[in-house]
Formats: sequence, C-alpha cells, structure tokens
Amino acid sequence: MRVLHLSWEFPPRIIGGIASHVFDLSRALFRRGLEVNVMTCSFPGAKRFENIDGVNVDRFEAYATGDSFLGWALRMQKNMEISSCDLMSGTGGFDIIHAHDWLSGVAGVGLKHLYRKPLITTMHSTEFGRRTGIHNDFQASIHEIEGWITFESWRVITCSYYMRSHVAWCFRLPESKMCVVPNGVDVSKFSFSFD
Amino acid sequence: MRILLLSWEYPPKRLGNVADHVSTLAHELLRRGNEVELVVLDDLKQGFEDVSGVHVHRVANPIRTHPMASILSYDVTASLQMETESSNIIYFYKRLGKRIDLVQAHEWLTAYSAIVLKHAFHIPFVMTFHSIEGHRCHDNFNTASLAIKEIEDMGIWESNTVISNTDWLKREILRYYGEGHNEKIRVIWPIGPNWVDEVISVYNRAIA
Repeated sequence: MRVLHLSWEFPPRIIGGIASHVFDLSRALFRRGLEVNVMTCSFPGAKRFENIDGVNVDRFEAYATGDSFLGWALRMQKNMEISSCDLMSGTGGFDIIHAHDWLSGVAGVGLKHLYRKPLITTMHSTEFGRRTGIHNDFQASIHEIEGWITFESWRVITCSYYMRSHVAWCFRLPESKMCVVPNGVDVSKFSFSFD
Repeated sequence: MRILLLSWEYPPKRLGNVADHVSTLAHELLRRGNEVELVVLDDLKQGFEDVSGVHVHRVANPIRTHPMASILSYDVTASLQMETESSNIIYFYKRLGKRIDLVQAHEWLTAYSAIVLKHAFHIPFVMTFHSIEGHRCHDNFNTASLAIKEIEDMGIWESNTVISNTDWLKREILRYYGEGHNEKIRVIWPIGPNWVDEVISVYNRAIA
C-alpha cells in the first residue's frame, strides 16, 4: 500500500505537535511494510528531497504572499497540491491520501477528487478548541474549512476519545466516520541516563 | 477538439464583460464543430445546464465566510471546487475513451484551477487576460494585490499561450511580468467575425 502524508510541518520545521506526530507515524508505517511519502513545507537548510528511515520526504516551496495567515495557508496548500500532482506523475500514484489538520486538508480535498483516492484526515485540534469558540470572521472561515475537510474525508482520525467527541460535535460528524488512534511513544528515544 | 473553459462569469452571472466574452466564445467554438465544457463559479445557481449545446457546469464556493471580504481566500477555495468539477468531467470522458484536449482559463481567478489540471492530467492550457492586477489596484499593491499579481505571474509562466485582448494590454503585461514573455502572448481583439478563428489557431498550436 502506498500512502501520501500531507503536513505543513515536519522536522526540522517544528511549529506544534504535528511535526513529531507525522515524523514518528510515517516511520512506523514504513516499518509495517507500507510505502510512505511525506509532502511538507520547505524550510531553510532542509533538503528538497530526503529519505528518512525509509520514508520519502518531499519539501515544496512554501513561500507565498498572502493577505493574512489564512490567505497564505491556502496559497501554500495550492503549492502543496501542485507538487503532489508532480509526485503522483513521477511515482505512479498513491492508494491513500492522509492529511493533517486544515493546514493540509484543503490540498487533500483537491487531490482526493483529482485522483479519486480515499482521503483520511487526522484532526489534531479545531479552530473552536484552539480559541475557545468562534469570535471573528477569520475563525469562522477556518472553522468552515475544517468542517468541509471532515465532510470530504472518508475517515476522520482523532488522537483521543476527548477529541473524537469534540470533533463529532463541532462538525456534526457521524460516529461511524470517526476512529481514535492514540499517539504512540517511541520509548527508545528516552533510553538515556539521567538523574 | 474538446475544450474546457474556466470562467468566473457566465450569464446570468455578470460582473463585467467576461460573461459575454465567454458566452460568445463558447457558442462560436461550438458552431465551428468543437465540443465545449464550461465550468463557471456561480454561488446562486448550481448544477448542469445544456445551453444550446454548450455544457455549462455551475459550481458554488464550498466556503461561505471570508474575512475582510478577501477575494484571495474566496478565490482559492472556489478554484478548488472548479477543479473538482473539471476532474469529474475529465473522468466522465475518460470512461467513454475520450479526453479534454485543452483548458482555457479566463483571468487570474481561474488560473489556479488550470495550473492544477495541467499538473494532474497533463492537459495544456491557454490563459486569457482581460485586465491585470496592477491596473485594478492602481499600483497601490497591498498584500492581497501582491498575492494576485503572483498568481497572474504563475498563470503566465505555466500556460502554453497567453491571449491579450489588445496590443496595449500585451505591452502592459510585458512591463509588469517581464519582456521575456513577448513570444508567448498573442493579441486577439475579441470583436468582429474572425476572432474566434484566431483563438482556434492558438488552440491548435497549443495542442500540437
């Protein structure tokens, strides 16, 4: 099975928790015999292409002028989508498209329709949860985009039962569409001596 | 030839002159023996309509709220829906053993859709400019205008040929986006009996 992960952050570009989530998940998927590609934003000093423990990482040009974070995020995802199209042409395609949050979900929705492949989205957080409510037009727009992405996804993954109940409520999703996959911990990373 | 036209205006939706331009183009292309699929953004009227032979697919923006009435974020989410409808059309013809030969985009508003379709399905596209952002914002580029200028630039680079309505607009495109595009821009004044034939000659060269 070939999987394309879309993520706006991936080490060394670490903004929140998605970078380490996608880093460890992609390597774990490879160890289970899947072919895994990650499409992520460019970052100063990071290679345009590299293979990390079996995972093929492609970095696309993330620079784009925008009128706001929203404008940039949408244009950035257009670049993500175009680069993913080129990757599809170069590699012969993927069986699953897996997006993380609204910062790659919009590109995921586009690729789902262009290639007619299942879209899986992991919702790590919601705009409602990040700001404890929807208070302005920026948030309303992002909230609507998140709802659209979860509607378009075949399955929505959350990392906890708390998030499942929140996401289901927030976007009025049927429980049958949702799965909970808790974050794993790589204990070998902690095998160092300390007091 | 089977052509996919992308536009933000088609009657009854009229914002400027592009609606009538695209309408005339579509029907004249049809009269000359071509097949025309037209994907247009129309938030108030959705669905398929056969308008005297032209297959009109109207789609609406999936996102309704846009902060600061931002045309930029409105455009990006809208063009994604136009892409989706376009790929449905492409898959429809694929199942019949047929294909879309060419995409034509009108204005920057449809540029992203044409660029993505080119990269996904390897269909060449021709881009028509009716105006450019530098004129619309009177050179007072704010961040939205700068972004739109970048999208126009992308459209010029990625397209096979650019059609400009007047020689003056062609010179302005070269001034804003670089003299290097000189060979790529064709001037077709969209009035008179033969302008659609000139457009078809551009299409034929783009496909070849």
